[in-house]
Amino acid sequence: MANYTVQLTAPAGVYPFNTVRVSLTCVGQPQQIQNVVLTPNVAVSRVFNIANGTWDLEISGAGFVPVNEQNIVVNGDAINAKNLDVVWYTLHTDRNRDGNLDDAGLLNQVTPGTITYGTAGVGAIIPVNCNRDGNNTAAGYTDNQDQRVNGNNDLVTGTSRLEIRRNALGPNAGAPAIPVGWSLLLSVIGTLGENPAQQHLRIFDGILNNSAEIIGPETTHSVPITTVTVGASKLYAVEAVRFAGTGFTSGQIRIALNVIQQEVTGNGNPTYLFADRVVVARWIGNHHRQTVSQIYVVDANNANFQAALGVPVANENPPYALTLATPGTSALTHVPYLNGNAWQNFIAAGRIARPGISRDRWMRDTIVSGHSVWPGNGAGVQSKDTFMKAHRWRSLQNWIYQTLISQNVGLYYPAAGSADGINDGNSGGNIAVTPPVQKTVNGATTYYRYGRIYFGNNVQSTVDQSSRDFFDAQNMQPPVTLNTDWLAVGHVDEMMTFVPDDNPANAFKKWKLLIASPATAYGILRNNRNAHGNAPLLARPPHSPGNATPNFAGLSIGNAIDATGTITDFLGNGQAPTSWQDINTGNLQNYTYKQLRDWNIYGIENLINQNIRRLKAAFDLTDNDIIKVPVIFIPVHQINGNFTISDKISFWTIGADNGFNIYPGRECGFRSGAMTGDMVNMFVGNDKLMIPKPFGPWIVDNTMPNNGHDLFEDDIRQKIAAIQNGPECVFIDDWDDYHVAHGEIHCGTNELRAPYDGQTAFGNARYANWWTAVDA
Amino acid sequence: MSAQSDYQQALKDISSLASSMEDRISNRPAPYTVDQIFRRYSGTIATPMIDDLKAGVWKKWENWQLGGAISYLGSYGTSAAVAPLREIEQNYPVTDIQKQAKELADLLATLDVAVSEAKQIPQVQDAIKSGDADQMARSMLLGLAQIDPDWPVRASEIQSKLFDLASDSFPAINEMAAGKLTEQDVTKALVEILFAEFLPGPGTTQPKP
Repeated sequence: MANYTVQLTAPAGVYPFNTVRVSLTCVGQPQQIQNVVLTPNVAVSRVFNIANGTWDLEISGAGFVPVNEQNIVVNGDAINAKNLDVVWYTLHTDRNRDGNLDDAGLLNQVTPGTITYGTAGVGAIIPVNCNRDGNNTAAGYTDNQDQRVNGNNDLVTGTSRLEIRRNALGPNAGAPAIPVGWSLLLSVIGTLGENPAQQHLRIFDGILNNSAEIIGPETTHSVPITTVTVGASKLYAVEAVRFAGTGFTSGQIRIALNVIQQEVTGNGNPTYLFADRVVVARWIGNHHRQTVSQIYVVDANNANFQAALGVPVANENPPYALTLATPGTSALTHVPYLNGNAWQNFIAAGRIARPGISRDRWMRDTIVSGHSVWPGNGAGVQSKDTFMKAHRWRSLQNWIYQTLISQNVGLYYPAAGSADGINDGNSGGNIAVTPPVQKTVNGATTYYRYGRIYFGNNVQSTVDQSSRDFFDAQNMQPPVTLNTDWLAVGHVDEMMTFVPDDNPANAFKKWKLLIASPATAYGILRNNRNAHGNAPLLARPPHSPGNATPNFAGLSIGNAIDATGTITDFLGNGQAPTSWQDINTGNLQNYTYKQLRDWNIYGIENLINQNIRRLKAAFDLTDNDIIKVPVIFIPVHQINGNFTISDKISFWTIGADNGFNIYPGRECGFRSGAMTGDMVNMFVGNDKLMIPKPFGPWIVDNTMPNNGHDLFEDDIRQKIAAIQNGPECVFIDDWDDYHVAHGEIHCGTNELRAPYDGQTAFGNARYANWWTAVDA
Repeated sequence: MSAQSDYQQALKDISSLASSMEDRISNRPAPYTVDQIFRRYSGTIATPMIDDLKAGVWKKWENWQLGGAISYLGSYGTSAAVAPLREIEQNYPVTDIQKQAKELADLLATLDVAVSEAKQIPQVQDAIKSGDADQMARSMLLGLAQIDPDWPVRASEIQSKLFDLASDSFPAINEMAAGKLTEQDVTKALVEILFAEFLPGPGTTQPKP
């Protein structure tokens, strides 16, 4: 027998491994095994009492280059000293979000354990690469809907980085020999209850143009990688396929690098791992405190409107360009969606086919203006204008998919592939964002630095579940739901908007809320009855733009070819020229000006006030923050059903009064639309408000440039003028192109806006980026 | 006009309405509008509609139209509609429509039994023979009350709350009226206020004969 001493020295340095298994084998002798715990740069000896003979020595352990020395002749006591090499592979992401890859995380753990935000937040942020950099994908597809990197620009502006590094210490660290049995396995792991991780993220085989997907929807969730491929290190481009939302509520994915040392854990079994938890970038809806950088309007036989809109746009400060969308000439385009692991053409649930080609003019309703920001890859923070596609199914989307998606503009469609039905509530005009607001309750203040999304979502007007899931999962702009059932179209932009107010005292009150108010409209009429009782509403004044004749030209609305009426008419009890069509009978139903007036003042105004109360509950809002804008509404159609006492506008009026005694939006009541131009449905520019002409009461005054003035225009102009450094009101005639089709300027336009400068607005560098600004 | 031609006319009306809305911001009628158009024809078009649904027309209908049709069948549907509704529930790709179809199919599936039982009641048979709308409505409601154990419970709850409200209001009214009104007068007036829409004329105190 001999005392055979194995002396092991682990290399100096820092590494997460310290244990090896020492094995001595000899034919006809029992195997000798000892586990040895090592300390860097310290020799550790283990004595084996073995028979003399020919032995094989094997030393192996996670992270240690194995030693396999055969045919050792043992003939008496001996010492065998070995200086060990440590070689290990690590995974690196930009965990601290500074644009550079960070040190490896902890061995056999997911790092960070939790994604956090704030100034010390951790967890790499992966961009949702939904623009179109290389223009080398099929029409309608964004960069993250194919299996490759789409151009050099895509590498910088659409992907983040992941790196696998080989680390080596010991006598052969300069040129480590990697055993043949070592291999790597890169995987993505999702969150319990969510769709598979590979549907959310794509990892490419490098950081070159055309690098191909190795993990992602169309390949696999787990891919073997050879040590030769990695060499000393290898970078991989990474992009997110989707924003957080349905089936991906957390927005988080774990990326794991398993290292397989065959001599330690057997063939194919992981020996150790490094894993990083990453999160996809968030989508941020734009609000009206953000500077407009582009306006879009549809070319829809609306030359006069385009020209009228072009004038204030050309004089905006800061300036921006107007782009004409051309759905009338855009080819039918498929909408791609991820069906399991393959991209397929989406047809909205409940629709038979793609929308045809037409001059669908409702730019606002098709897409929602927003952007996405992420830390980038060392060349500075990256930002991408990113529209959310509303769950709407009309021909303008052909242009959106054919033309709008570009290097500069991304598009994301949360409801693609869903079983959500289409309805009017799923429109961009029904989805908006407040400027930054705050809410104080019992002395505790919650700050909404990115504003709050608000949308109409009640019985008749609803936003699809996928879009709501999307908003919720962003966790940036907690939604406020309003009641827009009283409106036939049912969009929030029909009743309110926010305009900038450079209030220097409060960063969360740099706005005024404009609210449609029939009571204000009728108040103006009452105040002017004596002096201007004959002033006409709903008529183009003589020689005004759009009317070259010396006489008033009556406007058509609500089944009336000429709806003109004077102030006296509107305040009287005569028959109104407008009517609504009873679907039950097909008959046109007339009503009096008094019915219309009472229904507006006591019905619609009440419902709008209910919405104001909801807004006051959602953020600090006082009556001083509100500007009431004169608008008169008319019934458009009636909802069948039964009413109860609580549905009645006036308890004292018997029954439903043919619908006029029922709150709009309730059963037996009407859904309504703007009769006069709906001025709140405006485009809020940089220093101009582009407001639909109301065609309110016109006072003839030949001393004025337009030979008169509109009392409704005067009202809003005076109120806006009271705002310190407030915007300029520009009134545009959109009656024939938009108003008669139940929309206005806001519905017909859309825009890009620069990200809000939170650092300046809130006086702290923390608020420059969302990942440091938010706490969760 | 036959039921079939009425039904075809309703479909044309719906199609025309949708066409007229093409350029509007809302370019499809709301389901409740479709429902209203179907209801112009009362229950007469339910049979051809159900036949059409059985033939698979729902596969070609958009959700706004199908939603309106199912709403209509909520009043006029018969047990014959159960089969196509089940098909819609299982195969139409819109979640809301699936839910709507399921709820109605579940309801209509119970109709067969209820209707055949109620038809055996002599008073119901007499009322049907009489053709008098009021008598039929009363007899059929009472017939359903006999076979549906939940019906009298629900009716009783409503009645009880009605009496409670009248009773709660009576002391003040009694004082104002200086004892000239009875509690029964108050209850009667309350019924008229609450259900004015279903009584002969605005302001009348005469119950429907």
